[in-house]
Amino acid sequence: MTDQDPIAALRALESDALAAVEQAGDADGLEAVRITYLGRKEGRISALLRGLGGMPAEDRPAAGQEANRVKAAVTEALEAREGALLGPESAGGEDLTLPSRGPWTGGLHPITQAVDEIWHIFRDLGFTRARGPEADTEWYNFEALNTPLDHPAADEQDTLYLVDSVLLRSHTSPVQMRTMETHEPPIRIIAPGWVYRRDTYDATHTPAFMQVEGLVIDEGITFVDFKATLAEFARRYWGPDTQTRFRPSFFPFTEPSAEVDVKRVITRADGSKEETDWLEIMGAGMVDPAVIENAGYDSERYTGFAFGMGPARIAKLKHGVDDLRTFFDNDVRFLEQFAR
Amino acid sequence: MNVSYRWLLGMVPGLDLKPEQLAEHLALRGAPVEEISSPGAELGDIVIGKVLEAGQHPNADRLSLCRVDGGEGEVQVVCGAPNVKAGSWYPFAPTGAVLPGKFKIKKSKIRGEISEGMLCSARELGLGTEHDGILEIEGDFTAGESFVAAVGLDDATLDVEITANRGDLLSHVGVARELASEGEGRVQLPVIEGDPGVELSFERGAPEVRLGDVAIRIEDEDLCTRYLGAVIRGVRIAPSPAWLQERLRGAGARPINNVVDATNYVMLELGQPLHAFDLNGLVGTSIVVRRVSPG
Repeated sequence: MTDQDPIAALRALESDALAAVEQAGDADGLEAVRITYLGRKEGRISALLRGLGGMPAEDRPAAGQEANRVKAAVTEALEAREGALLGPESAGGEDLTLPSRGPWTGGLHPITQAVDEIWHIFRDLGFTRARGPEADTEWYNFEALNTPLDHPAADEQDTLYLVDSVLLRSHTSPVQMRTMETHEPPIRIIAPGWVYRRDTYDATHTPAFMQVEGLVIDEGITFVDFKATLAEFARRYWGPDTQTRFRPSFFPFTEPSAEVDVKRVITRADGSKEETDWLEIMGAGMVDPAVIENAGYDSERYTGFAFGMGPARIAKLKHGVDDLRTFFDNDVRFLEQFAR
Repeated sequence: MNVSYRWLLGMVPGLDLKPEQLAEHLALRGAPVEEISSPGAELGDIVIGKVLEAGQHPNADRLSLCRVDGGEGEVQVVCGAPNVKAGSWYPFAPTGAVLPGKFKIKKSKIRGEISEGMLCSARELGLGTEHDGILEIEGDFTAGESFVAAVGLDDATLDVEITANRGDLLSHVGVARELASEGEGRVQLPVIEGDPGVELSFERGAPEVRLGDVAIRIEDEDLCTRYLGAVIRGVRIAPSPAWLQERLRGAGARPINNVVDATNYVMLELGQPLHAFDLNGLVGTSIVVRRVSPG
């Protein structure tokens, strides 16, 4: 190092370097300029930066700042010149004749698709669509449905309460009561919607999930209507060879209650047919007369049936998905397989 | 509700269904079976072994050196249990056997002596908490026969899901009746043999009834219309007989002692909950039947 003022020396180097950058006629020339000034070992600016260590401590910050500014300025000039030299017309690796990317379109979520498929089948059978609030009262969620609040099904441990007696509905069945209150029979509704329970998030449970509720109320509705309607749904959803089985069960708001299983016939690649095991797809039953009375109807005159199913479970069975959580991870690579 | 397959067979003679078929029948009757397990599932490698000789280990005060017949010739086994004695039968895990917890028995040298297998305690087999000594088995056996079959652990436990409207199914008799109502055999209710020699007396509407030194009072008569109590004296606490332990294990319960096991047995058999109190702890107090107080 000479005694020369380091800041002045830096500025002189800067103007030399900028001039050299401007004069460089091609990429090789530009690279030579870069090595001359910024090269790690021999570069003139780099050498000057290394010399800063020998300066008096009080001068060092100002000189260091200036050195960094110069280095940045020269680097920027190099990049700008490189851009100008290479230019868009030079062979930069891009193929300008490629067609542009199409707009990225979304698709329906597999669970939404299942809801739509279920809804469309029932629509064709003469049902209409109904809805109710996700935040509802104890009355609609439990008591109106013949479930006293001290019944195990109304356990606070399993239900998400918002404030006193107001909760996030634990099933879509409150829509039954709300529809009966505002409509006169005959009623044939399908009510898909979100429901909430205090479940641990695992491969078979999510604390929020979709349910599809169905309700039929009219004069003279019998178990035969109930079985035939759901068997017809199963055949339309899973295929014409699908068998249905009604197993006795218990729900407070239906009597008798049943769980509905289906046995599908799947065709293998070689054309042979195979029956699956029985798969449980929904809970259902004849509407309990107490529920019909709670709605203000005469239970001697009106009867009906109700059912509820989980479209996520149905989508899971349909697509062979093992873990329910994959539906909610929002991984586009998973979801786009179902987009259509 | 855990149902012992063998217990059920005993109540419905002529029931000709395997556990899986039984599960299918129950499912169609509204009581699906969630799981079929076996109390001896993890003990398939364990055999009945006879200790032929039990002597002092030459290099360890607390260890014994035994000659054991596990059905495949005599082997030498080092044992740490204080209760090992020649001529008795024990559960024996030969070399290569796998115990619950994936613990594999290997031929080894313990304090300089070869040991080929292990004589097992109840805890090592997952059959109880007893670990003070190895599990001596009473009876006459053949060395090398399956331990699970010999002690009746080759049962099937059906975990039956019972809905809120079917409280009548919460016992073996209840499940047996359900099967019989379908035409699957006839229910043979347990015969209570002998005269217990007890005189029953009933008091109706009394505010309080005395049973020796203990008072009994029902405060919430809308929930409890009858309370029965009896004093049994001269009870000696001991392990239950093997057949009772087998049934409890088959029904997914863990044997504790003769008194606790008897109450659990009756509850699982007939669906009647009951509890045994230690009379010494109740003297001068009352049994009160009421709703729980707030807080």
